[in-house]
Order: sequence, then structure tokens, then C-alpha cells
Amino acid sequence: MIACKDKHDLPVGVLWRKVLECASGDWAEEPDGSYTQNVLAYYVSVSCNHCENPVCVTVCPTGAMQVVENGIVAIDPDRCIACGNCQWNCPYSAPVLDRVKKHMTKCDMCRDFLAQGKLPACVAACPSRALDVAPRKEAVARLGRADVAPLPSEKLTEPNLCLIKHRDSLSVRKSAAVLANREEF
Amino acid sequence: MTQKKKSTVAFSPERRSILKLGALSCAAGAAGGSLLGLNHLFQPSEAQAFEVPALPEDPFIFTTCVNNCGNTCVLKAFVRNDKVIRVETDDSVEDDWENGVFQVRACPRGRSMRRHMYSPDRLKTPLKRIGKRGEGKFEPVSWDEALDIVAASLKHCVKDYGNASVYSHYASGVITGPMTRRENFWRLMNCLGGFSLGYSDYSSAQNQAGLRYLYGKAGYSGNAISDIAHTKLAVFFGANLSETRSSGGGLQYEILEAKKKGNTRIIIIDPRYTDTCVTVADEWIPIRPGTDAALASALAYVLITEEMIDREYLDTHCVGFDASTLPEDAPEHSSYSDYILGTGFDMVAKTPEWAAAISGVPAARIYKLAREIGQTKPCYIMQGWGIQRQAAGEMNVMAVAALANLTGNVGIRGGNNGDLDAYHQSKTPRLPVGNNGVKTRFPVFMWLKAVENGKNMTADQDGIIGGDRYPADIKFIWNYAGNTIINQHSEIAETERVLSDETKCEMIVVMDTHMTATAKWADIVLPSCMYPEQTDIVGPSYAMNTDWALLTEAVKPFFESRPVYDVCVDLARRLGVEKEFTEGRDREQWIDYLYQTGTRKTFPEMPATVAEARKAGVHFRAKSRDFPVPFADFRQDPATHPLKTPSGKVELYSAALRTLSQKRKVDSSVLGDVIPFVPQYVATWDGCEDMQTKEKYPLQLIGFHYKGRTHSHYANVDWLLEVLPQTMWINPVDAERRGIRHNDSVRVFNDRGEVRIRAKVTPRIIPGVVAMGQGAWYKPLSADSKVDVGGCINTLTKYRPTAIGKANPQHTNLVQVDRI
Amino acid sequence: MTYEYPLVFFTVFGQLSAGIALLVWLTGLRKHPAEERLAWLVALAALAVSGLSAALHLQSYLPAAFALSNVGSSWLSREILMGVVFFVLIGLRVFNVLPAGLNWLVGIGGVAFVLVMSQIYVQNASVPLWNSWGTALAFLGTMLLLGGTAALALAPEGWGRSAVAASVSAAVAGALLALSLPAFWLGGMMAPLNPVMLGVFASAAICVTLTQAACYAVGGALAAYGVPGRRGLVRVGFVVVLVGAVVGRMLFYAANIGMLS
Repeated sequence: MIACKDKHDLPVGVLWRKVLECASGDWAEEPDGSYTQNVLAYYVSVSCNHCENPVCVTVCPTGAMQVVENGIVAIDPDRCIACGNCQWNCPYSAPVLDRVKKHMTKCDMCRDFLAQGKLPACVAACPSRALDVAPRKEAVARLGRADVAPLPSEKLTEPNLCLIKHRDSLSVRKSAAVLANREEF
Repeated sequence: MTQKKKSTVAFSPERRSILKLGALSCAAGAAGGSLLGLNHLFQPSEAQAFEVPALPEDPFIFTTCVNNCGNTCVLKAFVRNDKVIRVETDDSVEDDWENGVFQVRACPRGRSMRRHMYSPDRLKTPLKRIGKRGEGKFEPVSWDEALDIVAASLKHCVKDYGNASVYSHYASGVITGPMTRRENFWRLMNCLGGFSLGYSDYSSAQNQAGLRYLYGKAGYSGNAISDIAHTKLAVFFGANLSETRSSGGGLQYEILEAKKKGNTRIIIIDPRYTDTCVTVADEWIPIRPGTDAALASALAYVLITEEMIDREYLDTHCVGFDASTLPEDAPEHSSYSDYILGTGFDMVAKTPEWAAAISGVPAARIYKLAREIGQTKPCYIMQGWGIQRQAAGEMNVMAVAALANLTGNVGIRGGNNGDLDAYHQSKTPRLPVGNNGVKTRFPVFMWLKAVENGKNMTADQDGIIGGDRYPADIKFIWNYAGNTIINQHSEIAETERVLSDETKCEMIVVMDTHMTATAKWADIVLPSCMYPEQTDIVGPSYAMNTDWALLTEAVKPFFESRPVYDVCVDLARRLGVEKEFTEGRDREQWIDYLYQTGTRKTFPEMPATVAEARKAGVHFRAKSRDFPVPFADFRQDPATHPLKTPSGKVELYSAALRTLSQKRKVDSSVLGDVIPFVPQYVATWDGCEDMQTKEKYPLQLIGFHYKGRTHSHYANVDWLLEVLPQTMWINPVDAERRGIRHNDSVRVFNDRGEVRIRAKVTPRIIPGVVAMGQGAWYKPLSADSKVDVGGCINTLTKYRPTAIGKANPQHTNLVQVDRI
Repeated sequence: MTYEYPLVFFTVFGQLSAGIALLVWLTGLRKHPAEERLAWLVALAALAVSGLSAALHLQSYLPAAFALSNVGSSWLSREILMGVVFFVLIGLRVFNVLPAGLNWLVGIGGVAFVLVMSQIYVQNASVPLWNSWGTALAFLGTMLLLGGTAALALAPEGWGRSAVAASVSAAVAGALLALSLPAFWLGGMMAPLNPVMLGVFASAAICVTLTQAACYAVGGALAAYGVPGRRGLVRVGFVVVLVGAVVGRMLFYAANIGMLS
């Protein structure tokens, strides 16, 4: 998140990448004062998923939202009127209004870096090497599209987000109940 | 086997192939297009589909983040108009973990460097206090005026109170980089005869103290974390590497690789389901804070009674396991196994049932864990520094380490002695400091007592070393790159009380980059350059296992901020020791000197000159992940390779502790203020068994090292606060009882003070315990109200040094929490 | 929860305008040219207010030229198109370029405008509380309610009973349709949405819907009482009903609760 803000000069209030925390579990106290529990937690780092079926592109009235090279979905700042329809229609709420720039903005997969053979800022920055970019057909064929809580169902827009699932991954049906850090974005 | 990694996104066999994916430019309006047949009417033609934005071309410099997270990271800072405008990650090499060469990617803190450098509370000019100490009212003054005042005060204190009255306070804001570290002032003071320096630290004081008695080595003594690749079971007591060793070049990355390689099962015992649990734990065992020794004792009970101990090792390498290896003058029934089995001083068998009630871990689980540990050979038992930062922390440390001895895991590959990684990193040069004429030192945590009553501090009572008694009260505090006067030291109200008396400590000089809570208590504030504003030589910090070196470049200093070396030169001139201090070298010449005599000795293959080295960037050297095993010699042959303990062996019964207990007065009215001589569980004040205090303050409060900051460093960066806000973790059971919902504002309070903070209601913490990340900036509501709205835990901690190590029990607190 | 005041007024006033157009046609107001002209002027003014409100929602105006680019796929683009078409139709009626015999065309234009507007929300799968036909019914209902009540407020002296009946029926039917929306939310609330936010929203929904219903009842009663002769009372009744519509629409926009809310 921070690498992205730094590269794109994002003001406070504009996040192109979010790290969702999923946490669940119950506690039971035993008579002797000890506890049993079934707590689990994991994180899902998500930005714009450059979906295969990008509903934001469909609903944009001015054609500002476009699919460009390599399946990347990008916003043409010269055509955007900031009506917000893309944000409303995105299951991941990826587009965000930048009040300084006066148009909608979102992850563009660091097109400028990719064009130079460099990795997107977030991928290069992740200290535990949790993020990567890959050709989407291969990745989707191997790993499927991201369908774990706390994400929305992948059926809505066919996100080009593939996860190596956490050992405790929960189904998307549980999403609303287990998203634990809404206040951080 | 599935990867136990943090989730998210694919794999990429060839990153280079991204450009070959094939252009796929299609105009908008793909789906549902032909409903009104108008989709071609107003579409942009393909030629108009907008271009890839061009990348600006700014030069970059290599710089670094060198604060106290145990890591050093590499930053590529892009510069325009003398300012850092963008930061990129280290991409000098391809990751090759096995050979110890991998990218030193910065964590979110280092990554936010430019936001931190130019934040609104960055200090611009020297400041002189007007108004009362602590009011935070200053007027800008020139460097000359400020340094005149400082030098005059130094002269006066040395002359009238002695060198031991001038104290260089514990501060860890700069850990690596000879010209940026604290040695600059030490060297200056040693030119004047010496100065006061505390010993030990706030990170691992009880660990160091306890292990000195047990192993003769003050901590930093365990097998490398990469050793878990050689075992099937690793058990961590605490050790939240994901948050405390966050660098991409550090242990949080190494442990992922090691676990993958060894397919190791990892069990983590911690009051919180930490981020390390998220990434590598196969099982989490929640435990009440301060009770690790109870759990460890119960594990020992099962190991002993079910005959899973290494009897031979205990007889040949240890003292005091049972009567057969006790010293002659030891009291009867005072051995370790006496304590465990119920024939010791308290006649209580440390059964899992006994431990379950205290620690919160179910008895059945304790039996099972003991059997897992006992039946897996080798087994890597390790502890973090959270379990030791307690009122009886030394005991927790020793009790956990004792398990490694019971099972014979000391000094073998894939085993461990129960401590944290010994760390093996290439050394970075330090500025030579000369000889310090002041030989007596106090434990750092005792500094405030040394201000109030230093002359009455003794070796027996207060842990003074290098003498029987401390020779002076502290009159002058030099605080460079630290926030441990107010923010990070226990019981803020107490510190304010002592320091308000200007007849006690006469001069407080704070040199820092931002206006911290500590800086507000200064008499003189000096603005310091930040890491990217000074050149230096850096390398891996104390908690890394790699070999590398980097000569950094710099951008223009912010306003009137200056590097500490240059400031010390100016002070030296005023004190008449400039020649001695500089040895005729300026800052750059010192770097050259240290590079030639230090770095190039370690890395002879590096370029001949500093200039060339700077251009070359980061220099890595490969190193196998199989490090020398600590205590291997001792394990092979304890006779020819004895430990530095009085007996030469592992002291499960410590005669030295017994001696200490006879000399040191303890306060019997304080629960847990005791000095035992075998590792054991001690119920303490503000612990989970302090029933009297719990009537008013029923919840245990611990701090933790929060990923949004490094202690108090970076705490004010708005980008970090946006996504990593300061909150207090509370279990839903406790929250519901108080009508607290997630993200509600709450007040946390005890006799020491009150904090207002937002609640994170989460199942990721054991009930009965709340947790607040340490390091948030203390922000009292007003001059009169001491209610802290910054979320600083030291509003609530107690300044009560531990009995054995005279160390900081900052995780031992009881509080109550109410909704606001 | 957001309230989106510009869009609240955009939709309510847009639906008012469409409602007037529809009722002008259905009540045969062409028989009273003076009142009919006033009605068209009011409809035009309402649509202008609607359009200005919509503009306040935007951040950037120059690219608005592209707003019709995506009628091929975007309901929002289509809504802008229909809005322009409807505005032109009313304008043409005002300047009598279109004869009164084509009132039906303008009326249909208004209904189409409201229907298209509703699809922006009906088809948004990311906002479960909008994603149902209840939204379309609510929009059409508001159109009928405001149209019917406005017609009564604009009615000529001695208006025919069938015209009054038509207006009253439209208003009552519209009120019922508009108030039926919460029933559709029950389905939406089963979606994976933040339970805390849903709880807060549910409480708000109950209060607001009751307030809305009260406004409709009181406003309707005033209008009904005032119809035979007391024009002033009818107009007050209309304003009360309008307030109820605005309040109800605010609740609708507060229902913008997405999956990651």
C-alpha cells in the first residue's frame, strides 16, 4: 500500500491497494480457567483486479474507463467526469476519487514500469514476496480466480486475481462476517 | 504440501515475459454493447486510446533506513531539486535465499521515508526552551547560541559534578552507520575524560540477565532461524518475526523459506494471534502474559515424568537438574526437578492441570505439546523478547530455555538452546570512541533513579557494574535519536515528576529529527539530519544473517538540520578538544578512513575508493544458511569447552543467583519481587494472579511491536496512520461485557494514568488481556489533563525495575477498559 | 453511508418532471391551455433543477462532452441521453413546436427517462440493496406520486372529476409503490454485507420510511382536503409530499452499501 502511495503520489484518503484482514473464531472458557478456541486469521492484499469482465468499463458513461494493453483496465484522466459510477459498480470498490486531481483513479498496474520491464511498485516492494504478476491465462488456468473471503464473489466480474490460498481460507459466503479491518480503508 | 504463505497472487516463472504478453488494446464498451445499436456512434477510435504515461527521469541515490527494528534496509531515493520525491525498492539482485543473497526490501516504515522526511513536525532550527520544562514552548536560536549553551553546561557539569554526571541516554533511532550513530558524542566525551552510559537495553534486558546466569551468555545465543529447515518441529514462545523483523532482507522472509525447505511444523505460543501466526504457524496456543514459565514448568513435568528427557546430557552438561548435580552448599530439595515434581520449596507439583488454571492453556494441550516436543528429535524451541519484558521476565526466559536442556537440544543442528537467533551478520565499522574514564554503569532502565539519586545506587541493590556505587547524580542528559525520556520509558507521569525538578537534572539536550514527546522536555533541541541526508557506511543490522555493505549518498539537509558528527566537532572546538576529536579528519574523510580500515577488511573485493563504492550500490556476499551451531563445542566436550558460568555448565540451579538473593533487598510487599535460583513461575504484581489489583483493574495489558512503526519512529507518518491506525486489541468476550463494539473509542486506565484509544475487537487475543502497540506518540489532552489521546502505553506502565536484572517490565500491567 | 444530496435532488426532481409530463397527458390537460402551459414550464424548471443538481455531483465538467460515448453499454450514458431528449421534448412543447396532440410522446419520454435512470441502480450487482426491480418500482412510484400531486396543485378551477380521479389514483398508486421498496431490501440484506452497517441501516430505514409515509399521508390529506377550491392547501400538501420523497430518496442513497463497506 505504501509503495503504491509513494510511486503515484496519492494523498491521504486515496488508496489504490488495500490489505483486507480476515479473522474469525470463537472462545470457550473451561471451568479451570483455560480456554479453547478455533481462531483463524489471514490477509488478502487487493487492488484493482483488471477483471476479465470489467463492469466499470461497461458502465462508464464517457468511455474514460478502458481496457488497454495486456488486459490492464485504466482510466483516461481527460475523459473522466468523476460521476463515481465505476466505484459503485466495482465489487472491490477499486476506483477512488482523487479530490486533488478531480477525477477517478485506481491501480493501473504501474503501466509505466511494466513498459520498461520493471515490476509494479507493490510487487517489487513486498518484503515477504507475497505479490507477483504473471500472464493471466496461465495463472487463472493454474490457480483459478480469487474466491475466498473476505472478497466478493469472483463470478461478478471475473477478476484477474489469483491466490495461493492460505491454509485457513474461508469461502466467499462468509465474507461479510469475517472482514475485520474496514476502518483501515 | 500446501504453502503456508500469506495469501495473494500468483507465481511468475519468467518476469521478463510480461512485455511479450501481446498487446490487447480493445476499446471500451465490450459487454452488452449492441442493445441500442449505438455502440459505434460515439466510441473513441483506437488511435485515441490513451498512452502509457511516461516515467519521469530523475536521478536516484542509494540510501537506507537504519532504525531499531533489527534490520537495515536499502532504499533507492529519486531526487529532484535536492529533495527525495520518490522511493523504490532494492532490486540489486535476484533472490537466492539458500546462498544468503536476497533483496533488502524495506518494510512499510522505510518505504514511507519521504513522507517522514518532509512531515510537518520535522525540526527546522535549534530551539531554546522558554517556559517550564515539559511545556513544549521554545524559541528558535542559532546553532552558535545553542551550542554555546550546551558546551557551557558540559563544562560546568564535568567540573562541578564529575564526568559520571553527564549521561548519554539510551536511544536506538540510529543503529547502523558509524558517522550517524551515537558514538559521535561518546567519542567527544571521552576526549574530556569520560561520561555515563547505561548498560543493557529496553529490548532484551531480562533475556540477557537470565541467560547470563543460565548459560554464561547474555542472550543472542540461539541457533539461526534457518536451522528450522533441519527439524520437523519448532515451538516459539512469542517471537513475532513478521512484525519485529519486517525487512525483506530479514528474518520474516528467512523463516518463510526455511519452513518451506524443512516442511517444519511450527507452533506459536502467544497471547495474540500475531501476523507470524498468520504466515507460519500450524497451530496457535494462546497464553496469558507473564505465565510462560508456568507453561514451561508443566511441559517439564510431563517430559520428566514420562521419561522423555536426555538424562545423560543433564548429568554431564548441567548443574542442578536433580540432587546428584546440585552444589554441596545448596539447600535441600532445591534442584530444578524438585521444583517441577513438587518436592521443592512450595511442595506443588507443576502438573499441566496446575498450569492450565494459571496460563489459560488447557491441560490436555499441555500434555500433547510436551509429547510432541519430547518425541521429535531435534526440536527447535525458541523465545521472543516479549516473554521477558515482564516483572519476572528473567524466570520466563530461563524456564523456556530449560526445556531445551531437558530434551538435549542444545548445541545441535536443528535444535536450539531456547533463545532467539544468535545472528550472524557482516560487521559494519564503528567510529572509534577511545577510553571512557567512567567505569561504573547502571542498567539503562534505572536512568531516572540515577537522576534522582544516582549517588546512592549500589551494585548489590541496583545492579551497578564496574564499581560498588555510582559516583554521581545525573545532571546532564544528551539524548540523540531516541524517545526514551518520555514516550518509551515506563510511567510517564513519574518521569515528568522527576524531570520537572531542574535542580536535579540541570540540562536536557535532545537532538532529533522531529518534535517528539521527549523533545518537548528538552532545554535545548537540535535538529538532526535524517538518514538520507547524510552519507555513511551501512550494512546488516543486529538481527540479520547476511553479509553486505552499502556506501550511501545523500540529499540536501532539511532547513538547518545538521549531521551529528559536525555538531560534535563544533562542541569539541568549544571544549578545546577539536584536534583530538577529529584527528584532522572531516566527516567524509572519516568515512574514507573507516571504509579502508573496516569495510574493505571485511570485503576486500569491494572497490578501492568510496566514490566507486557509492556508484556500485549494494555489495552482497553469499553465505550458506547453515550457520555454526552455538554451543556445539560445549555439547561435544563440556570439559574442554566450558561455558562462562561459575561451574562451566548450564546452571539449572544457579549459585550466583542464590548469592544475589542474599545480597539484594527485595520488597516483600510487592508480589513477585523475588530472586529464585532455579527457573520457575513467579506470580507478580499486575500479573494474572494479582487478585487484589484485579478487583479494580481486571484486564492484563501488554504492548507489542506494531508493524505501523518502529517503536516510536515513523509514528507520525500520515500514510502509515491511514492504513495502520493505533488501536487496542480486545477480545469480543471482554468487549461485549463492556458494551464495546469494534472501532468504538474507549478509555484504558489504572492508577498510573489514562489513555483514550479506538478498540479493535478481535478474536485474535486471549480473553482477559488487552494489547496496545507500543510507540504511539504521547499526546496529553491539555497542559493540565494527563489523559493521553495519542495511545501511548507508557502512560499506564509502572517504573518498577525487575529484581534480578533491574530491567523494564513494560508488559506487566493491569487496567480497566470502559466505553467512552 | 453517503447521502449524495446532488443525486437525491437530481432523481426526485427528474421524476417530478416526468410525472407532470405523464399526468398532463393522462388527465387531458390540453383542454386547459393556460394551466397546461404552466405545467410544462414547471416540468421544464424541475428538469433544469434536476440537471443542475446532477452537475454538482461531478468533479470535472469539460469531459462531459464525452458523456454520450458509451450509450452502447452504459445505462448512465443512456440516462444522460434520455434526459437530454426529454428536456428537448418539453422545450418543444413549451414553444409549441410540438402540438398538444403529441403530449403522449412527451409523457412516454418522461417515463422512459425514469425507467432508464432506474436501470443504473437496478443492474448494479455490487450494491445488493439497489440490485432489484424494487428500485425501478420506487422510481416510477415517485414519478406517479409527485406527478399526481403536482397535477392537483396545478389543476384548473372546476377540473373534471375524471381528471381529478386520475391524479389522485396516480398519487396513491405512486405512494404505495414508493413505500414498497423496503420489502425488496429484505432480500438484499441476505447478501454478504457488513452486518453492523446493515443493522444501522435497518434502524434508519424503519424511521425514515415511517417519516416518508407520514409525509405522504399528511400531504395527501391536505391535498385531498384542499382540492375543491383551496388551491393553497393543495400546494402545501404537494410540498409536504415532495419533502417525503426527498427524505425517502436520501435513505435510498444511504443503501449504497457495497461488499467491502
